[in-house]
Amino acid sequence: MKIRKVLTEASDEIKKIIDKVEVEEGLPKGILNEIYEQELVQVHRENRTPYVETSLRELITKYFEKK
Amino acid sequence: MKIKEIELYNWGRYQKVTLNVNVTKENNVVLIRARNNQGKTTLFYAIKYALYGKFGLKNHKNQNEPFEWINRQAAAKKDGEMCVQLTIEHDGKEFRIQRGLKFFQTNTGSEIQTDGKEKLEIIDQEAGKPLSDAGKEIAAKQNWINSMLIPLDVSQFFFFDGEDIKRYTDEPEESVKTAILRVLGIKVLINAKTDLENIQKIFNELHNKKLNEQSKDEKTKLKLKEKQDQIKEHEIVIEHLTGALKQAEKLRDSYTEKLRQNVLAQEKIKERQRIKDANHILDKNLKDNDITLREHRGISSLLLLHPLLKIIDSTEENPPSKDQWESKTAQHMIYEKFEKCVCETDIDNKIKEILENKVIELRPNPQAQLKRFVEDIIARTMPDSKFSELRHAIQERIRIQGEIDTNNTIINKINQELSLGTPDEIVKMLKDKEENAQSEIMKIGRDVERAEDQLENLSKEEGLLKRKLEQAIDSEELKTAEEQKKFVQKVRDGIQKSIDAYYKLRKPQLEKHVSDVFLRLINMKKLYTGITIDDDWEMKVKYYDGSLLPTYQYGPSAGASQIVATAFIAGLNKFAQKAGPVVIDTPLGRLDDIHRTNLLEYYNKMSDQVIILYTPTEINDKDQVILEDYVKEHYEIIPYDDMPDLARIVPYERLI
Repeated sequence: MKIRKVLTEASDEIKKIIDKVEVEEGLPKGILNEIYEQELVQVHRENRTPYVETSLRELITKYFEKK
Repeated sequence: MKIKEIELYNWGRYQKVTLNVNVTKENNVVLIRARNNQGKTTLFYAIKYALYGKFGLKNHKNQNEPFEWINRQAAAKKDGEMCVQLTIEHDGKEFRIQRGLKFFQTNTGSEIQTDGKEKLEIIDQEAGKPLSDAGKEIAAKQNWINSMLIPLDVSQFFFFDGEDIKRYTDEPEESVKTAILRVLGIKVLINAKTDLENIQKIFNELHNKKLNEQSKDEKTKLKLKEKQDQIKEHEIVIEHLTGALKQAEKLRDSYTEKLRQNVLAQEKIKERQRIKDANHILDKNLKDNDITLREHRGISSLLLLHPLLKIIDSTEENPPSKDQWESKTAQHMIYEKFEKCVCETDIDNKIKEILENKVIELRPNPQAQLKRFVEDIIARTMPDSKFSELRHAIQERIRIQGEIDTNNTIINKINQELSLGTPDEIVKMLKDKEENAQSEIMKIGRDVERAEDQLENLSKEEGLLKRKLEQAIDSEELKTAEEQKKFVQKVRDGIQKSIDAYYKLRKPQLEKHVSDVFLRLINMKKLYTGITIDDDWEMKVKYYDGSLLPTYQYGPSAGASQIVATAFIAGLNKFAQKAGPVVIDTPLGRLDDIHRTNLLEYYNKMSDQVIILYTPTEINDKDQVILEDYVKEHYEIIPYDDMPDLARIVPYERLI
């Protein structure tokens, strides 16, 4: 399913904020944004464990290895 | 999203109903009228069931399971199917959502048996087949509804019961807070933070496991285990203490608030005295005015002079003036022995005779005498100026009396507001309680600090023990695991920083939305400046002098907090910027007349589609005038004549 804005038109504002935070905190570029995009489609999921243990963990590992 | 049609099969009191609820931009309201217990709420929950299944029923007071909504008469006859269908328009496309359950023939009075398999279909109307994007599994389809249409927890800001919404105002429950966060767009970030914390735990456990596996130092490992157990215990203690601290703070705040009210009460007493003093002066003015009026009473008959003169003037004289004039002229001409008339005609015997005939006997005229008398008195007494004085005195009396009445009303209101008891005693008692609560907070606060210090020390000790184990093992794997942990912590902190920044940005916007609606709905607009929302989502009404009132104190009636709640819901609804229908059951609850009018004038502006389910006592024919320009369809739910337990929905014709 394609990613779309869920409910609010807040995404653009959030993305601006997380871009800024990435720079300020010295985080790898794009990591917070990618987490946010992934979380957007998971927002209605009740059981989050499978997502955390697979997709999110892989994403973190990917950026950690890049670092 | 817009609902175009609702179809019900064996749902509650309805055996088969098809209802067109489509609206236009200009006529966006659908009214559905029903007396109590006729099927209004049943229809309301049918919409929620179609969209959210059993989760849509959770707020109903006793029917929370789908089988409880199966039509009993149908189940008593034979096996069948209960189904609710919504035809909706979303993003320019038409879909049909069908949700239902098969049931088996069940004796009246027994629990209705079903096959337990809820069916949910989302049909793409144009393609005439199930929507492939929505997936095949029921959970995937539900996810499509939640993500594409309106999420379940946010739906409470679209589908709501007017009487039940007070729960939003004082201390919103967790589900409401979650919904608010979702509307604000923060929920996604909060989920991310929680998920990252869970990843931290995973990496931590992984690190511990590796350490445990690779180290041979059993003694240190045992110590580490003990420390970790102590850390867990301390975490539990801190959790309890933090809870207790929160409770104590709440208690202290409640005393502070009561205290503030009593300070306000004392101010009100002063205000009452000031008004009483003003009334004292006004009473004196009233007595002076009495004297003025009494003086004018003596000359009130003068006021009749002008009308009397008018009557005299309009009354015909007897004999008429012309005859009187001719008589007097003729008499004069005869007496003076005129030889010629003014017109140079010779006065001969014939004309003399005519003149003599003109002479009539004139007696003194009482009407003329009266007129002269009246004119004489008017000239001496000047009734016009007396009348002006009298009018001024009367106006002054009305003004003074009006001010006294207004002041008395305010005094009565203050008397009502001031509760029983002496404010001084209450203030003292409340101050003591507030101080005690504050001491308790300090005490728990110190305990928390102590526990946190201990936890910090334990964590340091744990760190040292881990390092000791790590130093003994030269493992790249372990170092990586440690770095991974730190990395996740940093990412998690980044998310938290984003949440803080975004929350700071969005909350004032929400407050503005809610305040705008609130100020539109209230009666005494000059008294309030808006609504504030604190970090726990508790709302307070901002008074014109800057003071904050909890919503339950904002107005004297239960309806007043309904206004705040409606403003909150409408504000969130507006904030969500999701085009969804607003469906309101019991729209006006126990509101007073003016609030009712304000709310009715506002409802059609809440969304592009507003469906209102009301009772005749809530919206009468007069109220309907307010909405009639916006109404697209108006229905009435009525029982069948021969089957009073079953309902049907028919177009409503207003009796004029």
